[in-house]
Amino acid sequence: MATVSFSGVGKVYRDGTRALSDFTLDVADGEFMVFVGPSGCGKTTALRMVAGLEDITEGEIRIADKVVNGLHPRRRDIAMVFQNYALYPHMTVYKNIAFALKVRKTPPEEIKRRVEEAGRILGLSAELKRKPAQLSGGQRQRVAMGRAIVRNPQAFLMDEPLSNLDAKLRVQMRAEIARIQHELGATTIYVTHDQVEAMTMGDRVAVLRKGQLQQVDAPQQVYDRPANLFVASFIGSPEMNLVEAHLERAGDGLVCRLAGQVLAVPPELVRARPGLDGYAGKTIGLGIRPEQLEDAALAGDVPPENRLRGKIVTTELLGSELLAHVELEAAPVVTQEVREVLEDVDRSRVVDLESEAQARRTVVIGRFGIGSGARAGEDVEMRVDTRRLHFFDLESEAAIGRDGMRSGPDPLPTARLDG
Amino acid sequence: MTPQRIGRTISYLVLILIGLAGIAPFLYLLLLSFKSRLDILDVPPPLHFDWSTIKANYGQVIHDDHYFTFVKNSIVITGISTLIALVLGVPAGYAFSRLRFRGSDTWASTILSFRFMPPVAVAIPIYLMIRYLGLLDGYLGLILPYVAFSLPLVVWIMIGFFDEIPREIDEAAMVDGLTRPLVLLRVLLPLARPGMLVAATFGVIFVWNEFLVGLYVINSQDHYTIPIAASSLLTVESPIDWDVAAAVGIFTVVPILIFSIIVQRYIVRGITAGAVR
Repeated sequence: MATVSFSGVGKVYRDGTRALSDFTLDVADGEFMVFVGPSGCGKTTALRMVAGLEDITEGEIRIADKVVNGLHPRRRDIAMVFQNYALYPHMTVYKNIAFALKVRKTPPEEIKRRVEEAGRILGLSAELKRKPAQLSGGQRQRVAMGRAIVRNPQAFLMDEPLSNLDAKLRVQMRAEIARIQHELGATTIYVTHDQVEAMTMGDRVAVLRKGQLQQVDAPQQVYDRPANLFVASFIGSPEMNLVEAHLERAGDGLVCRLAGQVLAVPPELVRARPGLDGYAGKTIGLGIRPEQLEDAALAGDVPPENRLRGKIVTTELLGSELLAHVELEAAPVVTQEVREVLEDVDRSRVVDLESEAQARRTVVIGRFGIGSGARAGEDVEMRVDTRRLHFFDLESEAAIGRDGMRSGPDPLPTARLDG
Repeated sequence: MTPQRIGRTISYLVLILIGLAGIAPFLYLLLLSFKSRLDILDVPPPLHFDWSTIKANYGQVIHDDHYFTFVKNSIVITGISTLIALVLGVPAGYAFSRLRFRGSDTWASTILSFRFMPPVAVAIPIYLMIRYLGLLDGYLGLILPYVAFSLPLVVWIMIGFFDEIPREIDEAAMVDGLTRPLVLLRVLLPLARPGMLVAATFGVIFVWNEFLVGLYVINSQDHYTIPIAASSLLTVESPIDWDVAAAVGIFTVVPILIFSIIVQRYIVRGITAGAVR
């Protein structure tokens, strides 16, 4: 296994479309790296450039410290799992898995040993004599995995390998791929548009948008400290609630004003977000994750500056929790990045967002405890976990107070230039 | 009878009628080839057969007219030219399907347009070229133009079949360690076999029946193909013997019939694979 590194990699297609720009990233030996982003963000292009299936227009890609820009795929010693599996339909499972070894003139007894071992790891031992057409979707997926692991290559490349499976199987295979990757200690680049896969599988997650790297971090970091509005709204389900708020000074501290309501920003959070102070008197984007909202009736003693009031539009009882859709009197954050994320889900969501913006009302989602008596049509008081509020510059769309992080545009460019 | 059964019965009746209409000319031909000259004009032909007449008709075709030579010529020329057309056309179809190169789309349609040209339009230039090359009156003199005629169709049929095979299969094979040519040889050819048989069939039928270029290029009886030999039955001096002509007809049809029976299950599968999937 080996490292894979991108330095200043760019891709421009022959028709002039730019798919990737200035992509720089190091994947460590044995690391599980996930590329995630909406369709057309360049994640698959980046992966295919590592495989050698796409020319590299700019920059360099190294596998095990060797520049591979001009190398044919077969000389890169990588294995790839394709979205549609790309099994050879005329060969049995055994031959499919053995093919790469046979091409590389591995001794027959060695091939037999390795194919049978791969079959055992993947639970395909009984299927080895069948052809792909006789297998279920999940089994085909395993064969595609088998073709990769039997090789013992420098790196595994996986292009949305689970997207053709149904939901239940996907959850199972997700765990299985993570287990196999862990067992083999294989350097892996995994492309997906599913942020749940990104969160659960990756050692680190690289979020891409329009061919540009937005953030690379451990999944929890990406979730807790998104670099900008795009990452904030893309990662997380239900997604982060984003409302416009006016940041004001109150005594020594800062408060967020949403229409008539006020949320206090805890002093330790102000300290942890350098530059936030400079936004006092300005309108910012305020991000609140659904789990930071709780029915105040269940939260015990909550000071008024940690509360938000709203009207319940609808509730979804999920058994373990209650998702409450609550309408606040505050404008939603409508920026290009937020729009893009919604558009990737469904165009109609953008229309909804815009009508909310016109009415200056936002429906936020709160994860309430199951004991909540929240009913549609009623007003509700919510406790806000203000220690984990997120703040965004509405102009640059970057998170406020992420100094030293590689992210979108700098919130305070002039200050940087002086230093 | 339920309405369903009535419907089924009617559709079978229609199918049987169509089948009969299709097979009738062959049966009639077979029947005629068993008759003597005098019986041949009777309509409907009498259904009593005389072994000596049959023997006489076929004997004349085989021994006096050397028909096995012509059958052999036709098989050799058809076989070799179709084979060459496949060897050249399959990689070309693969290249047009997979690779983007300067003018690839233009070239693909240009190649197809060659096919629109009827042989008669180019028969004389071809004759002159073949004469210039000194290949008149030989197998090669026919094989070259026949390859040229079959090639566009082979290329186009193969483009269609390769387009049906997902590109990821090529890519997987390259990642697995093969070069492009080896991908074609080891992975795609087995998958494209129905396409190759369809292309071969069209080529074989065309070459087997081709007459005009053959007429120009071939002079000596030794090198006649079946269509030319059949036409030589009709000469200025002698009126045509319809019974012998019918036996010749049988000789023309039988080899191609055997070929069709062998490949037809692949063709049907191939055509549906190309169209529906």
